[in-house]
Amino acid sequence: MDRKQFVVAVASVLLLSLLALAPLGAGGRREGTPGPAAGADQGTLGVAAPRGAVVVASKIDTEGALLGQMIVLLLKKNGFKVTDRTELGPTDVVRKAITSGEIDIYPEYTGNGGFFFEGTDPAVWKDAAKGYETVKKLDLERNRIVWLQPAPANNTWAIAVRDDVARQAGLKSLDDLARYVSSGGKVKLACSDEFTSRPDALPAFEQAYGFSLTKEQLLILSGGNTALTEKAAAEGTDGVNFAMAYGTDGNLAALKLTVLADTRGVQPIYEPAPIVRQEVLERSPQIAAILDPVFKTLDLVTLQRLNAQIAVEGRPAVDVAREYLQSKNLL
Amino acid sequence: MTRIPRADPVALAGSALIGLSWLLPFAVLRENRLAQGTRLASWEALPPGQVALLAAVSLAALLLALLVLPPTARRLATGAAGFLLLVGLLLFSASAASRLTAGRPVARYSFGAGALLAAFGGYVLIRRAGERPYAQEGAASPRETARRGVLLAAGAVLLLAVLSAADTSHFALARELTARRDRFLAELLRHLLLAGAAVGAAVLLGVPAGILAFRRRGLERPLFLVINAIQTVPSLALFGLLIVPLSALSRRFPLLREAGVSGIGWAPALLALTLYALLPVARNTWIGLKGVPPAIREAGAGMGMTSLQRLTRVELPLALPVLLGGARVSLVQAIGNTTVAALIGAGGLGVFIFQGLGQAAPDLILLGALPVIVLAVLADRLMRFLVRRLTREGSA
Repeated sequence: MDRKQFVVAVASVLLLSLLALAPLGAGGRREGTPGPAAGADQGTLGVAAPRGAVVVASKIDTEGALLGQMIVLLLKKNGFKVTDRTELGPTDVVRKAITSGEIDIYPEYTGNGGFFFEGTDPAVWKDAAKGYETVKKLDLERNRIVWLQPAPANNTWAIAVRDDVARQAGLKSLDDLARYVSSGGKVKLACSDEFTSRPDALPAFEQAYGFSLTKEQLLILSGGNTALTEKAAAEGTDGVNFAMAYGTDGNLAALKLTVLADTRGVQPIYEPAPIVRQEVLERSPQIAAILDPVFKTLDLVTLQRLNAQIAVEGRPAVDVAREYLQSKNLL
Repeated sequence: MTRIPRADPVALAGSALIGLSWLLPFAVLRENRLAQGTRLASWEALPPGQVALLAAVSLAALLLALLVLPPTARRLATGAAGFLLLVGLLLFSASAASRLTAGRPVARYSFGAGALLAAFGGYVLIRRAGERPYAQEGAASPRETARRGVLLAAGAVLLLAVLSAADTSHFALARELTARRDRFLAELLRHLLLAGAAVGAAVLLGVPAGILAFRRRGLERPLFLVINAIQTVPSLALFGLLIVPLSALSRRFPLLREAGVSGIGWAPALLALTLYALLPVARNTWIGLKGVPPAIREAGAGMGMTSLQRLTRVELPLALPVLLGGARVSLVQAIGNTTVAALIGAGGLGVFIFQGLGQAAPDLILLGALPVIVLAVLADRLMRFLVRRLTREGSA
């Protein structure tokens, strides 16, 4: 390539990236100005959207599908024009979508506040009420997002063990696990990258209960998916007998796994709650009154049972959601 | 004089696969969608009579492949054995599925590796029957082509009839499908639309780009540098990168927002897919134009054609087979790439793959992956057919 061609190439790449970045810069500036909602408001109203148009999303996992469908069904029932964007993508995509105004509402977990807002006191997230108040306040201030009533179910990180191993070694809590590890019991834990590296996950367990697992005792699956880690333990892949799990996972019983109790309360509390853009809630304040009574009923056992119907029995999330809401006379 | 081989190597390979399949599990039975499966041999899953039938057909295929027979007769006979085997596998598996999962709505029956390998072996035999022995090399006569077509159609109709007559609803894959039939059709359509629109846009952009690169020597390298560079960006990254600028654009211009353009959904997906589809189209346009012999080009000029006339009447028609070959590659590639679009809310068959990964449910992953493979193969066939039709030469 001669020099002239090189210059043309570099110039065109620069031009292309400039084109791509120009709106980004414009968006950034607008967000910094005091009244960012005014422009967005004009946009939505200018489209002649009916007053009750709402875009509902959720994360692409079983519980996301379940809770997302509940929100969709309830809002539709109450006369909203709902766009169903449930199972949209992983946390970062959904989060980006709501902060940029692409979606209006989705279920998020209180404990993730510690993740979204750096520099908060880790102890705050281990208390259900304090964690909820903190994330509610911060998200409203910084992103104009309102947190509605959370479900009283803690979908936190946990360690699950094969039923047969638990029976044999008498494992019920993480204290038992610590004893089992130090007495030379055979351990192979399947978990995600995040689980071993985040200070509030495995390191917190190890510190609080006084045990430590070597590299050889871990099987790290990047991607951090409890369905996979639990399956590995259930099938004993590579000798795995323990698995990273979530509290409300519906698969545990079907896969013959038991969650070890976190007796010392090491983990942050992750309670799912619908979160709404303030602008949308101001336009349709009745959303809170519609969703709050439903989320109040979703305790740990209920969520495990409903999640299992989707994941284990393979039923569509919308059917499971509708059936539950109807059984509670909420639909 | 051509030598007649003692055994047909391809038919032998197909029959050997069928023979090997007897060493592998015939079916997998699982207590529920996520539980680990129990592998069943054919004699554990099927009644003895059906096992004997399958064994007899397998053995017949092997013998027919080994015996000294006239090539055409052998191919037809092994092909028929392969076809019988496919029909038997399907019918017997369907009845086994309903028998083994009876009274247990959550239990799942799937094909084992053995059944799948046997089906593949049967397919090889059928394909071999469709090929002409090389003793009869040369262009096929219209009558022969017609005969092959009729045979192919009859086989397909018969297989479809068996498929619809058999009660396939107890297969694990069918369970996943019936649980979300409407969603499946919607996502299938979305997948086709996204991939098709991306390739359409890539042709509209890529052909002019290829022509430009050909006509203006100075632009050749920089243009392809950019297009090549785009190709090297991982698809997931490109989808992710487009979210922020596009959502800012749509907020800035209400008109765009009204049209449905936003940071998530079809807009970034279409944009990214179009960019990926650009390379094969532009590159092949350029190669096709380059391949036009200078003498022909000069003849056009000698006839007093303008530069534009030469392009549209001489160069492009001659470059067409190669150009369309590029569009074919683009389309097959776009059908695969579109699966990733599900991660930014654009839908498509990838939705099922990612849901299945999230739930560690292999049946659901297959429900997304299998149609993508079928679509890609069909698109390839269709485009090859169109290229042959449009160019007669079929040189692409």
